Amino acid sequence: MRSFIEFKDVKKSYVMGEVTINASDGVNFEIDQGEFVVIVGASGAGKTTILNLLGGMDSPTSGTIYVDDTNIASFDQQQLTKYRRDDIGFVFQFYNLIQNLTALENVELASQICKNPLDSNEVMDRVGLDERKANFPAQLSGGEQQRVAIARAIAKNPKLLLCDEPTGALDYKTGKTILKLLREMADRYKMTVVVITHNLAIAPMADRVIHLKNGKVEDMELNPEPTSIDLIEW
Amino acid sequence: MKKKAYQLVFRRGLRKTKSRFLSIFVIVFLGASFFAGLRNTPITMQKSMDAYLKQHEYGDLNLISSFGFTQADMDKIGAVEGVSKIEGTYRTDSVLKQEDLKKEVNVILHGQTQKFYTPDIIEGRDIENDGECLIDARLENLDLLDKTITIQNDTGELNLKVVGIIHDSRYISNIQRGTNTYTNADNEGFVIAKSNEVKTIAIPNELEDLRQHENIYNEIVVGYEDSQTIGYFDSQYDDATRIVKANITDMLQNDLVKTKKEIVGRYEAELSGPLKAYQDGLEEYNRNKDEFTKTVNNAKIQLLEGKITIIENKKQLLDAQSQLNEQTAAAGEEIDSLNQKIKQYQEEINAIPKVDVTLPEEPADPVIPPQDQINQEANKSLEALKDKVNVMSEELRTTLDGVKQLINANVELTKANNELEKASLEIQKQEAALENTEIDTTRQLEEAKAQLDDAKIQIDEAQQKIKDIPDGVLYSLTKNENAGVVSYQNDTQAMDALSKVFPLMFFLVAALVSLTTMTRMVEEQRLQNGTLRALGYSKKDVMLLYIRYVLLATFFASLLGIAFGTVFFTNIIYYLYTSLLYQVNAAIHIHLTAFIIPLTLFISVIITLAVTAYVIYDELNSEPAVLLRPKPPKLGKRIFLEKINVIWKRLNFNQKVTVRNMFRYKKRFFMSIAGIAGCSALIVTGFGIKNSIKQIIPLQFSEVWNYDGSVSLDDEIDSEHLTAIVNNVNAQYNVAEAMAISEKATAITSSKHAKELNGTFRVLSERYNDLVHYYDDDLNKLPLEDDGVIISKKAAELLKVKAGEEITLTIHDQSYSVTVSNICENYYGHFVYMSKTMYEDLTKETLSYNQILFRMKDNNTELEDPLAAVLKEQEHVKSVQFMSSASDNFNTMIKSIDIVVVIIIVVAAILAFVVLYNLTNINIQERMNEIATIKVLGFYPKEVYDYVFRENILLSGIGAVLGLVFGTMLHQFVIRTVEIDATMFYRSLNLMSYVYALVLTILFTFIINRIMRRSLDEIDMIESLKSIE
Repeated sequence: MRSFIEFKDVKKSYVMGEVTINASDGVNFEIDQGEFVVIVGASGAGKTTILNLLGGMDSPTSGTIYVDDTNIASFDQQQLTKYRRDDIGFVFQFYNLIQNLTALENVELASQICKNPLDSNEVMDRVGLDERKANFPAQLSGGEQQRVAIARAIAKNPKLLLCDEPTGALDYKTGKTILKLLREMADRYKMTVVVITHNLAIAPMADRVIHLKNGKVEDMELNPEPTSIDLIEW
Repeated sequence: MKKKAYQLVFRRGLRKTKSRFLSIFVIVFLGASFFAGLRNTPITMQKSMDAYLKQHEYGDLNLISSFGFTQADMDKIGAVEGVSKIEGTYRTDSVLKQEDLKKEVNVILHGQTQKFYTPDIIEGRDIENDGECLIDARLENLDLLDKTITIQNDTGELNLKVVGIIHDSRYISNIQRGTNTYTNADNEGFVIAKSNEVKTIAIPNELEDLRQHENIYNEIVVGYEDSQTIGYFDSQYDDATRIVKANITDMLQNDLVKTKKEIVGRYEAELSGPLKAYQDGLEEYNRNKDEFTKTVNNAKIQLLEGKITIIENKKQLLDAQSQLNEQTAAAGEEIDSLNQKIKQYQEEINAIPKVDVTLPEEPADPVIPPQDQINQEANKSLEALKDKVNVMSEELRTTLDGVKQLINANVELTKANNELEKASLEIQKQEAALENTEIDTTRQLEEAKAQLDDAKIQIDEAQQKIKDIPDGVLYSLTKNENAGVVSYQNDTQAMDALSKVFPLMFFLVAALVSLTTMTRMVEEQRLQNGTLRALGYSKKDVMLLYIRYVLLATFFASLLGIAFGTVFFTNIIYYLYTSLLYQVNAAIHIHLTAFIIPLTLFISVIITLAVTAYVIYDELNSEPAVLLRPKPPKLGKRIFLEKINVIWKRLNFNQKVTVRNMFRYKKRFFMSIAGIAGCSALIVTGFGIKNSIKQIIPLQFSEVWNYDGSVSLDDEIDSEHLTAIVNNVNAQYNVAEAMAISEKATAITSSKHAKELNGTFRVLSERYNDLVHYYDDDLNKLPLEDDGVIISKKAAELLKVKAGEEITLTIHDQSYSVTVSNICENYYGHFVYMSKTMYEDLTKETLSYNQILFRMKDNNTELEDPLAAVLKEQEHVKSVQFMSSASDNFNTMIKSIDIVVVIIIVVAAILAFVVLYNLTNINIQERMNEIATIKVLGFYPKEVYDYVFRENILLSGIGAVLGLVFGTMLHQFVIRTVEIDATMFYRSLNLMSYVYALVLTILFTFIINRIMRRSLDEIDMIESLKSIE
């Protein structure tokens, strides 16, 4: 039986004039449903590339990517868009909220286009922002903005929640809060959460840790007993 | 090297932002080329046509005199200072006939000139032999080359062979050929033949007679020295040539008076002989008559006396006769008694012894004494008897004497009677003779008198003719009277006015584009600028980077634009004008007014620099530290509309986003709307103008004038004849109604406008009728009273008068001041309407009608000629004209405006595209992150397009509607600028123009959006998300 997510020999190259960059150079790994996965690696190791491929924002040069028994590597633009729409929730480092919409409206932006959304208000409550629904991003702190982003991602009720350095722009304390929230998504709501970070310290909180180096999976660990984020210090 | 790295920043920045540089370059290029091109077009048009005129030896002054000109006149003119060349020639209005042509063609015939008006031969060749002629290119379609034509007018006809088809510098316009005085219609073209041949029909017999034996020309062409160096369309031309012209015309005016005196004198001299002869004859006649009368009377008297004498004599004779008769009777009685006595005596005698004496009964000779036998008794008795007989004899004797006398007297009497009879006869004879003589002589006298009367009539006629010799009229025609030149000048002036307004729009757009482009660039390079400032470079240093950037783009774009525009736009516009309206082969002489170059540069540079400086300064005012931090995104704000919950509730999500977005970037919001409004305004104006012009035809030729043709009549027609003709016209099968009018040319001035307007003055025989309508703006009929006139709207505008104010009219060389009672709608020509009563009160003259207007039942143009033919057959009818040809001419004239319309609409499209493209581009660039985010969120491409372009459409809609307002104003401006003096375009805008503006503007928006989709597609989610928001 295939895993929920399966990367098989995935390669991604960029040709820029005479230079060919192999962002992913034969990546192989699996992820089970409901797992909280952390992908670590130094800058330029190819973490974001994996996330982009997983998130349907890009197609691999070669290899297969199975998500829920579908090979998204062979998807065309239309299919990828649909995949992104319905099955993926994305959280960025810099939140990327729409400035012109309130917090609630940002969430609604996502929920109104997908098949099976969760209630925006409820989701906002879930991320603890019930008081902030009518504020514009400019009126929110960094942490609050990220929570809105998460709410937006979750509201789609996606199969997969992908987070690219979600705590990168946040302070230590706020960052922890966010990670806690993400963990909760996996634990309580059974979402498959993939977090990219270059901060090794948080690896223990994950169910699975994938180490990337030079575009390849160097190492993969499973944590049967993940540590609570509260107990992790760095 | 001073600031070498700094220079690198600039240079590399330049290379890296090629597309930005290009967008500023292009828009400035367009603006400059349009501006320079359009500004230069009028002068190029003028110089080109001027070159053409000079090349073909155009004449500065044409003098036409009703007395003609002699060589002496020509020499005098030639001697005037400022005249460089002079030539005498002929011209005459006539008709052209040819066997293949369906109808006659109205033409003006010119004599060939050697020094002026060199022909521009487009087919065939110049005149080489006698009997050849050249023909107007306008008549090319009549296919007359190598055919023989007949030119005919009042004076005679010429047969000529067409050898060439030409353009002539007197007729640069395709349309205007002047009025034909022979047929009273428009000329359709010109014909040129040898001077001496033209002369034979150009000089009317009356003129020839008038100037007997002198060799005259009826036209003199004069060339000025100054026109070699001054252009015909230069403003100084009129001033520079004023004096020469005045000198010539003053001189000639004086000559006219002198010439008339000469002519009159000559004729009077000629007449003096016959006059004297007549007078002498009359005298003699009178004398003879008197004498005759006297003689006859005398004779009659004498005869009468004779008659009287005869009668008296007759009376006497009768008296004598009766006396005689009495005496005879008495004598008879006497004789009887004597006889008795004799008888008695006889008896006595018998008684007496018979004496055989028988006494003769008649007293005869003394009785023979009785014989001796007589007894003494008897003797005694006899003695007694003898005594008695003696006594008796004596008595008898006496009686017989008496009787003899009586007999004599009778004889005498008879003789006298005879004599009297003879005399009577004689008198009768003489009487008869006298009668005959009287009759004869009377007849002779009458004949003589008749001859004298004839002579008197002739002399009277001759004297009247002498009195009727008109004063000489001099026409001096300069280029200002040449219809083609004047309309060309007007066209260049209209172009000039437009060229001042339209390019401004482009510069506005250029300002817009630079503003947005530079803003974007400065924002993008925020970090770089902050860094430079942090490094210690001054604000000025940083500013200079951008200033130099913009200056570079603008300066070269301007220069290139000036060069391109001057060649391109000028050529196009010139080509359009010449190919549609002025088809002479006037080559283009591109003329660049030196002033335009710095002006264009100045405008483009100033605009873009000002904009850039504003943008930069704003940015740089922040502290370096601020610059180094990312610019906070434009805050989302609740917009005004949100507060109106009723509406806000009803908007769906997408609509809310769109509306909020629109108001978020206020600068761009206003710019987009301004740009779109401009585009929409231009389209409204373009179509509005086209409609305003098109509308004139049905309005003028169906509403204001509801007649199809007019019959012009001889000037002095009496009302009986007039009525007869009107009835005749009405009776024609195809005529629905007819009406007589009086129409004259008039000059109108007002206190606020001293320059005369040339207009037409009309009195309609029926004040309110269905053929000529006086309407106000709302198509309500206006009343025409007897105390004021109705004038046409354009005239009122030009004269600056309103209802109730005064104007001055010139009728028959007399000026009258009248009140304007109403102003009527009219689109072509200036008209003044007056009632008959007012006319007669004003001028104290009786009005005579000189035209009949008529409306046809079926105004198919094919039915025109037959109708005209029938109408012309009548006496007193000079010509028949139809409105269809007037409206045709008008149609063609209006093509020149169509050119403007085309330009406007193209400009509108370009404007819309440029503005929308630029702003959408910037819009997208600024919100790349946002767009990438929603792509990531899984928005389908179409949803992405909508997200971005919905604003565009909404802005477009608002802008388009706003543009309708602005366009209405622009339309008015252009209409008034472009209006030819004697026309008034339909001032209102029609609905369709607005519809077109809205539809086209939105269409352009959609097209842009379509094109911009690609930019949206190209946004790479991943790349965009990498940048710091």
